[in-house]
This record gives sequence, C-alpha cells and structure tokens, in this order.
Amino acid sequence: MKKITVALVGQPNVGKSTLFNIIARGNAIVSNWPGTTVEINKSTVVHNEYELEFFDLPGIYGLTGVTLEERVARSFLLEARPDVAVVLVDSLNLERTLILALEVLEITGKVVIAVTKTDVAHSKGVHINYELLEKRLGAPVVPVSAIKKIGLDRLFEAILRISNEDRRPLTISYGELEPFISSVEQIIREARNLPSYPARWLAIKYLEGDPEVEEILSKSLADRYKELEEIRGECKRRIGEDIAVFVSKKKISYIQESIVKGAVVRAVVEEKRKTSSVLYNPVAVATLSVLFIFALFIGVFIVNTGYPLTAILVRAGQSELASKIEEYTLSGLVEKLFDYISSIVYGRLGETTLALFITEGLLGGVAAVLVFLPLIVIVMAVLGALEDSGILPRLAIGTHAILQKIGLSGHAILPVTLSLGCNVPGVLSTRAVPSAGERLRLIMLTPFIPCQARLVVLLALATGIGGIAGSVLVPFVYLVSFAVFATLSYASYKLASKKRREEVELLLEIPPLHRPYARVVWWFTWHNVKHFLAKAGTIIFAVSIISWGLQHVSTNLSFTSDINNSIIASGSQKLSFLLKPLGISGESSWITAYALITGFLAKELVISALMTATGASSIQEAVSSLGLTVPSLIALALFIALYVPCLPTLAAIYMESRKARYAIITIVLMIATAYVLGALAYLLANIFL
Amino acid sequence: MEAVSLDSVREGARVTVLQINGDGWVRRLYQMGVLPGSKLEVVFNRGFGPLIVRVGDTEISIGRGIARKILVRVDES
Repeated sequence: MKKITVALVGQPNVGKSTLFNIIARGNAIVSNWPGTTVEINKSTVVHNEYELEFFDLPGIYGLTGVTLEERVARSFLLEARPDVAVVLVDSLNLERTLILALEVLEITGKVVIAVTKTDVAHSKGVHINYELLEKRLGAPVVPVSAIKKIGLDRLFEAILRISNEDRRPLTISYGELEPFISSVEQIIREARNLPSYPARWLAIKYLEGDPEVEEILSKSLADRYKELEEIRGECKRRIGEDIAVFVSKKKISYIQESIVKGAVVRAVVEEKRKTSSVLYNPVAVATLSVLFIFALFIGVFIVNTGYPLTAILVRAGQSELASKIEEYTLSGLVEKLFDYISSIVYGRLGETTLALFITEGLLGGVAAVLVFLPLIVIVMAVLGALEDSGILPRLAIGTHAILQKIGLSGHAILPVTLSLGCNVPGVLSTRAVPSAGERLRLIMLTPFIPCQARLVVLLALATGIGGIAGSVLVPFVYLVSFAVFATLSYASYKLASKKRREEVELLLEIPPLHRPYARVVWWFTWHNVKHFLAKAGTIIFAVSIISWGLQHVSTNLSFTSDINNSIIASGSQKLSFLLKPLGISGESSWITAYALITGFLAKELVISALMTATGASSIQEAVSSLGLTVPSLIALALFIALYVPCLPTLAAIYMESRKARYAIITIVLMIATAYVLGALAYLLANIFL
Repeated sequence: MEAVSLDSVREGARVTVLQINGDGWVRRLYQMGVLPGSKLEVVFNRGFGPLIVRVGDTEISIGRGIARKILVRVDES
C-alpha cells in the first residue's frame, strides 16, 4: 500500500482539532518534535488503497518563527517534507486565515486548501466562489464542515491527486523588494552545503531578518555572508521601513486584490450583533472569572480529598459526617481498594519479603500514581471544556487588569490556574504567552504555586498538627505561596522592564462562545491523561520502587527490614543538620531529611516516606514519633510548599526554556525562599503560639 | 481627518487603521488582520483594561498599551 504523509496546518480557532478528530476517529499517537516539548499528533487512515498519515501541527498564526510552535511547524514542513500540506482557512475570516496559506504555499506547492465552517458561513449569507479561488491560488480548494462531516471525501480525493503531482511553490511579487530578493537568491543558489530549502523562501526570510535563517546562512556561506549583509543594508535604506512589515503588507494586499476580490460575496448586510453587557464589563468579568476559578478548584479539591468541606464539618462538630465523606472521596476510595488488595496478598503469601515488596513496593508505587489520576482527569476535562467553549480567552481578558498589577498579563491565567493542579502542564502552557520575556518569568515562577501534590502533603501535616493551627495551616500556606509568587513576579517584571523595556500586554482572539463538543473535550482529556501516565506515572512508579529498595538495603548491601540500618538512613543522617533552622534536630531528624529528598522526585511522596520510615500507621503517630513541635511543623509545611520544584517540573522548565541555567536559578530561588520563610515562621510561631 | 490612537476611540465607533508603531506586537497584529488599511469596529472600551475590537467576523482583545500605538482615523462614531 502506498503511503502518503499529510500535514494539517491552520491558525488557532479555525477548527483544526475538530477536523483532525473526525479524520482520526480517536486513533492518534502523540509524539514530540525532536528537542522540544511541542507535540504533534499523528493518525493513520486507510483510503482507496492508500495509507494516509496525518500529522496535526500546532495551531499557529504564521510561519515567521516568532514562537516555538511556529518554528516547529515550519521545520516540519521544511525537513519532514510531507507529501501534502492541508492548510485550513476559516470561511468567516478568509482574508486573515489565508495569510498562513500563502506562507505555506511559498514553501511548498503541494498544498490543499480546506475552507472550514462553510455551513455557518452559508447561513450568514457568505458565498465563496471556490473554483475562482482554486484558479487564483493554484491549489485545490475544498469546502468542508468537520462537525457535519461534509466535504471529507472531496478532501481525501484532493490529497491523493496532489500527492501524485509535481507542484512549484507560489511566487508572490514583492515589488521594490524583488531586485534584492534575486541578488540574495543568486548567492544562495551558488552555495554548496545549504539544506535543500527553497532558495527564494530563504532569501525573503533572510531579508525579513529571521534569526533561524540568518544562522543557517552565516554558517554555510561563511565569507560570502558579508555580501548578504550589504544587500540587506541597502534594501532597508531603499524600503524605508521594517522589511518584515513590508512583506506582511504586500501579502495582505495580494490576498485582498489578487485572490479574494470578486470571489467572496456577502449577500446579506451584517446585522448589528447584540453584545451582552456583562460579558464586556471588565470589573464584572474579572470578579466572575476569579470566583469561577476559585469555585472550580474548591469543587475539584472536595471530590478528591474532601477538603475544605471536611474541615468545615469538623469545626461544626460533625466529625463523623466528615470522616464518612472523606472515606468516599477519590483518595479515600483508592486507599480502600489498596488496603483490600494488600490484605489478600498477605493472606496468600504471609508476612514474607515478597509480600512486603508486592504490597509496599509495587502496590505503593501504583497507588502513588493512581491517587493523582482521577484528579487529573477532572481538571483536564474541565479545562478542555473551558478551552473548547471559548470561555478561557474571556477569563484571560477578565483577569488581565489584576494580573498586570503583579507584572503579568491575562495570558498568564492559564499557566497559573493549571499550576494549582500540577506545575508540569502549568509550565508547558506558557507557550501560549506571546511575550518571550513574560513567558520566561512565568516558567521560572509557576513552581511557587502550590500544586495538588503539595495540597495532599499539607493536609496530612495539618491533621498531624490538629487544633486551630492545624485548620488554618492550608489556607495560610497557600496565602504565603501566592504572596511569594506575586512579589517575585512583580520584582522580576520591574527588573526586566528596566533592562529590556518589557511590557505586559494582552493580544488575543476571542472565539465565539459555544457549547463544548464532547468529542473534543474527551480528546483533550484523554490526550493529557495519557501523557501524565506515560511521563509522570513512570517516574513516580519507578521512584517508589527504588525508594522502597533503598529503605530495605543496609549499608553492607544486604536486605534489612529495619529502615534505621538502610542506606537511605545513613545518607539522610549526613544531611539532617540542614534542617536546624526549622527547629528540626535530634536523632530522628534524618527521617524528615529523607522524606524531603524523596519529595524532590514527587512531592506527594513526602508523607508516605515519613510513614514508612517511622513505621507509623497514621500521620499523627508519625509526627509524634518524630518529636516535632507545632512551630516546627508549620515551618516544615511552608518549607515543603516552597523548597524545590519536583523532578518532572524541573524537566519541563529545562525543556521549555532550553537552558539549564533557568532550571538552576529556579532551584536556588526556591530553596532560598523556603529557608528564609521557614526559619522566620519557626521563630514567629515560637513567640506567638 | 486627524489621526488618533485607538485607545482613545469611543465604543461603537468604526475606524480605519493608519499606522502601527512599535515593534514586537506589530507582526502578531498583522497576522490577526490588524494592519494599515484594516477597518475595525470598537466593540468595547471603558477607558481602562483591554479593548475589544471586531475585525471582519472576529473579535480580538487588545491591551491598552498596544492600542496606544495603533493610529486610526474615525470613520463613523
């Protein structure tokens, strides 16, 4: 069977994910573009004796190489060289979305244009002459409506046809720029060791000042690169404005004058749309947004651990009801299940080393992953619905004014909100932040936002403390963490704005609101959960088993059931002096040190490490056997919330910033903050409590 | 007709973009369809916070700092 590779390219909100989902029918494989965390979804479909391999490239506004996604999409087209590129354009925003189509057509002629949302356009009285567009663009133009599954057969036909034809890239005339383009092109054609990119495309991008193209040319042209610089200097003087801007303008007027003119007819005069005033009122939207996010997370927290509902019930004297609810929260149910399996294993195997390994090592590892799974499913489903329905950009607008006060823009709302669930997707989602400076600051600061794993640890410590101090511990730590995040964010903004005149601004498209499509939400959820299981899941599972092993191997490398003789105990003992500022010292302080070391791998492991190392069956018992005072516990809680990003988060920071330096800065910043605030909390608590 | 900055235009007005100053945001604005010659409708502007304008059939939200650098001509207020 002949194989054809097809790339799907489109701007955000043109309906690309919907089309991909319909084509893939749920069968997709996610892979990362080499060296980045940008994902490309792949799905193979058999059609008329052909095997079509679809690659869903990230949604991008253009191929200028400004954002990571744009660079990835661009190198996919240039290097992976798909047989056909399907570019999606929005029938309701034809002129704007055609810009991307032109940019793709300048790289490769093997393009099929899919015009989306045609059913909606039709009902709005927009009529498009597809044949005329086809003739002018020199590429097949197919109207589709993914939701109603219209036009898919014609799309497949066009793809098969184009894959067998030889087509040249489109040449747009850039007027006064042309002589300069041909001079540069000439030099490029004479060069030997250049990658086989279209020469004219390289020439235009070089004149525009594209950093990636500059690097390629300066490397392979060596001595002739000077000539290019002279040509570009002359060109800038002649054009009199930024060349990239000049090129963009030419493209737009080319679309308006030579492509769309006469091919699109609006039969009906557009009715004046009613604008719902609440949705546009900044104060109302900001308040609603914050309340909405707050309610969302409280709801998710309650489903997962029962907190803060259980804490309120306990205060109201309804402890029994509280523990009943806790039993039926997701965490409670998972715990129950594992207790049940453990009892079966012990029943079958007795109290043997094997049984110990299965229940504590293996099952413990699975449990550590499973505890998080339901939570991630809920958070991802809610976020998927928010994104697909078009509510998310409205939250960004609503919170922009507030976030600006701490040196961020509305674009930061997604990373900040996601980080409350888990820092890893929080760091990854900074990609949607258009300003590079703001994005970098967010990558380094989001780990200060307490994630669900830390919530679990804090809740356990709060139980250990008990009393009033225990019940206010969680809100207190969250408040401090947010204050630290806000302060550092503002300070770093001030620093950056002095150095680079950085500004936090908002610029985003507001897609129309609609009911979320179940299929898209499901896809988003499943995709992210799978990701979590593959990446974080394996790390947590492996680490749980390794740490179980370290606890049961003694310093002379034989099996031991007493953790005090283990390798990990002797290692932690050497480090435990570091905890003195938090008021944690003495013989058993190594256990806390050990728990903190495990917590670096995944924060939720702190509690299980404390319990297994003390051999306690409840957190209260563990705390009392460690001899920790209330001030020490408060200091410890604060320290755990802030001390270091977990290993998966660090990996994400490194991958997204592409520099180890930023991961190291984050670690140093967090340890320093945790130390100072932990020690301060210990001192103050000793005075006032 | 005199040129004014977009952030000072009243809600409901229709304007034509004359010039966009500044650097980083210009290309993104172009990609979103805001460039010299584009016709915009100011859907929302309350004197603070981001503006909302309509370009073709899309609404986009523009931060006040960016709007200040967009010079427009008011066609219909």
